[in-house]
This record gives sequence, structure tokens and C-alpha cells, in this order.
Amino acid sequence: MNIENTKAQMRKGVLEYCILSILARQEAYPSDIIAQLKDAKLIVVEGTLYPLLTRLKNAGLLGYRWEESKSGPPRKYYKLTEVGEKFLKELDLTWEELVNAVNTTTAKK
Amino acid sequence: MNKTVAANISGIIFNIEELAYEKLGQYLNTIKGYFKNSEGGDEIMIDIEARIAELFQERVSDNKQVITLADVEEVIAIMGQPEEYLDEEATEQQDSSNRNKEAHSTTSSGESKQIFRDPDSNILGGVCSGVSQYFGFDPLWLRLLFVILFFFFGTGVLLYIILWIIIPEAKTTADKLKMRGEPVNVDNIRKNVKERFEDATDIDTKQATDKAKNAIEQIFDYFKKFITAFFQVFGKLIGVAFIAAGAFAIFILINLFMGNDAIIAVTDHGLQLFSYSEYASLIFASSEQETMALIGIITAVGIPIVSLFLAGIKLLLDIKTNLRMVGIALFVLWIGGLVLCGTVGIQLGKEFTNDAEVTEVLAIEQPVGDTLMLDIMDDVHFSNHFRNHHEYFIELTKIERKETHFGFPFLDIREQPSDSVFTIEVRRMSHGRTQKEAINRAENIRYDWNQSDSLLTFSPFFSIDNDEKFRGQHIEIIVRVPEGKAVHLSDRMDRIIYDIGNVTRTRDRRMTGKTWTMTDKGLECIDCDL
Repeated sequence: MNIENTKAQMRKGVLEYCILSILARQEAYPSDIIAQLKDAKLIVVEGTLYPLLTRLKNAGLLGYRWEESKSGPPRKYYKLTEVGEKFLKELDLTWEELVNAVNTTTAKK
Repeated sequence: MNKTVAANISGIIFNIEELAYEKLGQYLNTIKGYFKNSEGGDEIMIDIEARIAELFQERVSDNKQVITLADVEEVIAIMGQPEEYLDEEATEQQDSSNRNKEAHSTTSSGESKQIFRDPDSNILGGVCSGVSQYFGFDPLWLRLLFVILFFFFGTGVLLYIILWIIIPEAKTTADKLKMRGEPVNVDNIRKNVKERFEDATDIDTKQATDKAKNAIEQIFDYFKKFITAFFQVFGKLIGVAFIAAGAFAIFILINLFMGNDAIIAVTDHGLQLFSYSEYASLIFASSEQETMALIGIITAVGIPIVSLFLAGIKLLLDIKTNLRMVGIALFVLWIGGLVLCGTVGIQLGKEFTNDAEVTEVLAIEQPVGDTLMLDIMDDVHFSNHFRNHHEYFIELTKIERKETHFGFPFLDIREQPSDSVFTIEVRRMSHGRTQKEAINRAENIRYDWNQSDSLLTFSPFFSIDNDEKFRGQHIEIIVRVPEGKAVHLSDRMDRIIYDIGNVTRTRDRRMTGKTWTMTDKGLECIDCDL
């Protein structure tokens, strides 16, 4: 059993949930999202975000629009779609259940 | 002082130190390789490159205009290696092919060149620019070639569209870096193959020490590498052959059916020139049917040729693009072409369902002696060279402006059953959609013969008007000889006589120049040396 692998697996599951939560609050472009995720110590390298965003977008959970940038290439501003909002609500419930489950099981130890 | 390279990343030009540029290229290639097979891989690359451009932008100012190796390393550290990405699909991929990939990427990530359409220096789709970069020559020559080919019935257009479809566009900087790698020429292929061999032995020895791998697997690995290297070179050669054959066939096909030019048919008598369009109007019932047949034939024959050409280009340029949709589309079109051909074929078949024979018995002036002389007129349309047979339909058909001549009338000599005079029967035959049509077509056949004293001369061809269609029209002339009388066949008669029965079973070819008497058993030769 590889500890790094287990840690990565745990973080991975939470990551999508967090990205959706960030975008539920407001529209954001990747650098914004990265900054928040980095603050929360959820990701180490920025590259992680891009495949995830593309995958969530292709799954219909996210939409985006282009905006010109003064200091670089045009930016993609992502936001939740209706499907994404429903998806997130379900995740919210699941997350609560998980937290409860983890709390009760680990407390007994 | 360091040399710098100008690079376009996400539409912004950066001056990058040469070493830094190489490092960046390798990094982008690694990521690209990682997402190659995953859905939306191109998009991910574009996004990542846009972010890199943004990070570079933060690192240049009026005082510092060049991206250094340190900058690139910093940005790579921020973006991270793909192995560090917490991405499901990519991680799975990595797990499955972990060892191989790492071993391989160290040697081949920087050098493998791929063909792309170049969107930066394009005139149309960037095909010429991309292809010439792949082989390392000036795109001007290729563009010139396409323009010249355009005048050969638009061959150039077709070719260009094919290439446009199968060569992917260089969308990302990683693509562009691969596009600009070392040109693919014989020297570099050889170098590449050599390196691959060394690489193969390298991996084997490494793995042998790393893990006690059994010998059979090692040999198998080495064998696999050898086959790969072999096919890399061999595949390109096959590719060139396919392209040459395909291009030639496309050219011929377009020439054949689109142009008014004579085309070439290979026959027993060497190369014959004939024009498809002339024959088409002689055979097809209407211009609509002719168009249907043309489209049908071109798709049914053309699509396999185009596919061959496509396969050749894919092999030569080592294009990995999946062309399944194009393949399906071509297949459907091809089936459509076959159906069209079949439909026209059935329609034409119906035109031949009824047949008619119109016989005309003609009295002739009886010869003074007992012998009738038979000869043919000068063959103005067909050289005497040809034997008289349906097989030589193409050689023995001559289409003129108003009428068409067919050089295969048959002449037979038979016994006159009741009477004691010579007669001639002209049998006109034709097929048609209805019995009436068949009779009508048969009656419209023109045939010429004449008599002067005891000499009968026959035309070596019969004719129809061009507003008639060819429906198997045919002419048979029967010379009726009463018992006890004789005919003399001139030397030239073998042009039209066909399977004349005789007592000695002498063949047509040997019957000429001789005199034959009709006996109660059949024709007998008088002056043969037996």
C-alpha cells in the first residue's frame, strides 16, 4: 500500500467538489481557481486543474465565456451550468454524509 | 550572450533563450504525449499553453525582455509534471504503461517529428507549408506543383482537399514544435532507426538487471523493436508506392471520364485510342442515364483509388489521426456508386430483352458461267488487319459525326434448297426494349453490296445513324448456292466470312482464294491441293 497514492486518491475525490463549489459562488478563470485551491493546499501544481476543468466542461457541468485580458492571452471564465448546480447539490449532501460517517467511525477508535 | 528564439505561445510572441526553448519544447511534448489519447486533449493543451503564456508575461518587463532557462524551469515547477496531476484518466494511463513510457520518453520525446498543417504561414489550409516543413524544403515549390496540377482537370484541388482532411492542424505550441523538428529525410530516418535500436538494447539490459525478466520476453521485446524500425522505413516506401499508383490512377480516371481526350484501351492488337463520351452516347438511353452512369462509375472506381492514395499518405507522413469517420463516409459513397452502376446496368439490360431478325431475300443476276465470284469492297474504316469477330468490338467500331460503322458483318455460304439460282439473304438483327423497337432498330441498319456481272462485292462494315443506340445490331449475309454451281472466294474474303460449313471441314482462313462447288453433301473445294 503506497501512502502517497492513497493521499492522492483522497484529494482527487474532493478536488472536483471544491472546484464546483468555488464556481458556484462566482464566475472564475483558471488562475483564480488555482489561487484558491493553492491557499487551501489542495493542489501543488497548476497543471492539475486544466484536464479537470475540460472534463467537467465536457460532462456539461461547466460552461465558459471568453474575455480579453490586458496582460496575456484571452481568458476562459468558467461558471456552473444548471446541470452543474444540481450535481453540486447532490455532492453537498454526500459530503455531509461522508463527514458524519468519518467523524463517527474515527471517533470510536 | 545567449542566442534567443522567437516563439508564438497562445498568440503572444516571446523571446526565449535557445536552451530554455528546448526545455519548454520537451515539457510540452511530455504533456501532449500524456493527453494524446484522452478526450479533449487538444483543448487541455491549449489551456495549459495559455496559462504558460500568462506566467511568462509576468516574467518579462521593459528591463528584462527575454525568457531565460530559469524562467522556464520556474514555470514548469508551477505547472508541474503530468505524473503529479491528480487526474483520473491520466493517472490510470500512467499506471498501466508507467515503465515503458518513462524509459521511452527520455530518448524520443524531443526528436520525433510529426506532420501538421501550419496555421501561421498558410495560404489556404496550411497544407503546403506543413508538408514542406516536414520534409524540409521551400513551400513555394509545392504550391507551384498544386497550381500546375489544378490545370489537369482539377487534380490539384482533389489532392489538396484530401491532404487538408487527413493532416491535422498544429493547434498547440507542442504541435508546432513537433512540426518544426528535424526534417524527415533519409539521413534522419536512418539516424532515428539506429537510435531506436540502441534504445532497444539499452532498455533490455536495464530491465534485465532491474528485474529478472526471462529471456524469451527479452527476445520478444527486441524482435518487436526490430519490426517497428523495419516497418518505419518499409512503410514509407510502401506509402510512396501507394501515392504514386493512386495519383496516377486518379489522373487517368479524371482524364478518362471528364476530359474529351481519347483514352487508351489495351487490346490484343496493342494500344487503342477511344473516347468514353462517344461510346457513352452510343450506349446509354438518355443523357440522364449517361450522367447517372458517369457518377456511378467515378464513385465506384474512384473511391478505392482515393482510399489507396489516403493510405499512402498516412504511411508516408506517419499520420496518426483516426480517419474512421472519413472511412465510413467513403464506404457509404462507394456503396452508393455501386448501387448507381447496378441501377443503370439493370436499365440497360431491359433495353436488350427483346430481339428481332429481319430477313430480306434478294434475287441477283445469274452469272454467265457456273461460278459466282465473291469479293469485299475496300476497307475504308478498318484495316484488314483485324479478324472478323465480336471480340474486337472496340477496334471494329468507328464513331463518326453522323453515323457509326461496325466492322463485323458475317457472311456464310449455304445450299439453295429448292431453286437452281443464286440468291442472297441479308439478315438484320437487333435487340430492343420491345419487340417493335427491336424490329425497328434492325430495319434501320444500313448495309452495302453490289454486283457487276458475275462479281459480287460486299461491304466489310454495316452502319447505324448516331441517333440510334447500339443495341447489339448485327448483320449476317447468306449466299445461297444451288447444287452443281460454285463460288470463288477472293483472298480478302476472310475479313467477313464466318464459319462456312464444307465437306473437308476447312477453316475459314484457308478457304479464301479457292473455288468451292456445292454438292449434295455440301461445299467441296475444286482447286485445292489435297
